[in-house]
Amino acid sequence: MNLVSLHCLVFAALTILLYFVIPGKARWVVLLAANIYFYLSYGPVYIVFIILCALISYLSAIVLEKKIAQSAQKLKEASAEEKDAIRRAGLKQKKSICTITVLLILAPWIVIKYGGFIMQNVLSVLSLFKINMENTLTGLILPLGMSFYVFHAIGYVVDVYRGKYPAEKNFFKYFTFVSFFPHITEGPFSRFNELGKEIFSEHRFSYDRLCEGCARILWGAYKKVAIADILAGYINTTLGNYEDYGFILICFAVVLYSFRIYADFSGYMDMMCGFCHILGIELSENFKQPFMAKTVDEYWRRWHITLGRWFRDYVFYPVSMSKTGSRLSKWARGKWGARTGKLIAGHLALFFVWTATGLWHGANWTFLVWGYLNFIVILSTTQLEETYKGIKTKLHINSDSFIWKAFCVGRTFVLISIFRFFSLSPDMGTALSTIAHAFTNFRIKEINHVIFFFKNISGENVILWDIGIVVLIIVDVLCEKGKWEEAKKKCPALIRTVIYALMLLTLIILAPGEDVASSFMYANF
Amino acid sequence: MDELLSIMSGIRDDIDFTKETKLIDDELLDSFDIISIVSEVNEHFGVEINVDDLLPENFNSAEALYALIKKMQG
Repeated sequence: MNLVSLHCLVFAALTILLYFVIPGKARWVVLLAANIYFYLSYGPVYIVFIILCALISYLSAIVLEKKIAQSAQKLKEASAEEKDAIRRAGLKQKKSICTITVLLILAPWIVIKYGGFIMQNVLSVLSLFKINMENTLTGLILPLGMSFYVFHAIGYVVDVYRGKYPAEKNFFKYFTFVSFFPHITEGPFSRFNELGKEIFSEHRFSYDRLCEGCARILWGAYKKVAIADILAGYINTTLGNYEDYGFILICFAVVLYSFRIYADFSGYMDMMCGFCHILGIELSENFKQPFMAKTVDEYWRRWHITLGRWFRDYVFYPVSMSKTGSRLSKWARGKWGARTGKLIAGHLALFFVWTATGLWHGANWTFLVWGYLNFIVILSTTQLEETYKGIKTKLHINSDSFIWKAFCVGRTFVLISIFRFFSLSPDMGTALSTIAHAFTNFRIKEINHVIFFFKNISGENVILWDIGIVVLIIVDVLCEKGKWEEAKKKCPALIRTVIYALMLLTLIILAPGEDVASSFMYANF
Repeated sequence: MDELLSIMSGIRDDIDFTKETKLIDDELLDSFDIISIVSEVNEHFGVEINVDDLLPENFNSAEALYALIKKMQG
């Protein structure tokens, strides 16, 4: 089901209608039915994977909870000498169950998503020894949303293991959470105790929420159709034929790619958050004006926020606070001093986080390199913090000045765009060739193409893209300054209506186009 | 409590830990600050704060963290 289509519009409208027609306590059943319909519309075979994933995590959480209760009961009845042994035995059992569950959930995802990549690399090594074999794991199709529901299930099991909240006893309720269609294709990553509370609470229909939700859906669809999809053609043409262009136009295409992916991904989020808002369900926000970030670290706290939160809670903290992490800290403290000692466990954890983040985005060396570039920059920011402070003092730079802040924002955007040379290339060879070609072909005349860019991008769509990108920047600046809500309220109803009508008109004009039928970019991860 | 405040101020000297009560909710502390505080606290107070204790309610203020340390020390 294409999310920007009449089919999806009817589906969403019917879901909302049925949701509020059915009595309060049973409303989640409508969502369960909608989830199943949505999932089946992409192909009936793949639902088997999500059911299995949900079933394994559901049963495991119940077993874990039982073990926790048994252990607590034994502790109550035990003597002081026995308590430590009981605690250790309980923890060991819990850990085993949790580890086996996580592996069972991860296994099919790893085979489908990474099997071909791993096999290819193994075969490349074997070919050095003149052993040639065929890669039988290529072409496996990743079921819709698998990279998302697998993480939701793991988060749920680990949270129950940590005793953060009780296991859900009703499988269908749990399945409604795992398969919740607004977050299954591109996130956000949600926690069961947070989203579950939203899904299973009774929500009354609100006219205000309906208007707010529709406005946000419209804005999201507009970003996708009038910005992201229009830009796609130009970017693909330029980067697909990079030999024909020089440094300026290749870099321009990469910069536009940053806007494209932002409009695409945040557009999806706006549509889903808007839809859920109508129902009274609030999804976690995934963006906080990422292009206003002053450092790469800050950028990642503003871009795909919930993925960063997931990796922080389930990879960064466990690794940095593990026994190995503590031992490493102590060793580094003695060798390199207190500061490095304190940071080294975090750096180790960060390495794992960026390896996982890179691989999560795709089974390709390009994504790994992209991840490690982010890692190196973030690492140098924390490790060289004192050096940077010293340089700034020597150069009399005022960190609070507008010019410095603007420089930092620009620097971060440039860095993020440079990293994208890797994440958007199909393979390492293309990424390196594109970079090498760009940096050895300065064609100053190309500046004219950039200035008159709007003439080159396909005809009538130029103005739409032009307006869209300007509005996108204005909205982000207002949000950053905390004035967006106020601006919306102050805007006269007539002007608001005209804006919405123009956006709707744009969607109607563009919707039948071939480009529009493209899927959302993050759905492919 | 003074020792804890000294540890926390040593890691982030730009935060007034005697007054702040929303260190996590307001995102004043980042992940690196938290693991640095945990590492110092574990060593200094002889406790074992682990990943399961990383809840906002334990780290939102110096007082809350102090209460966690006291609870662990029994």
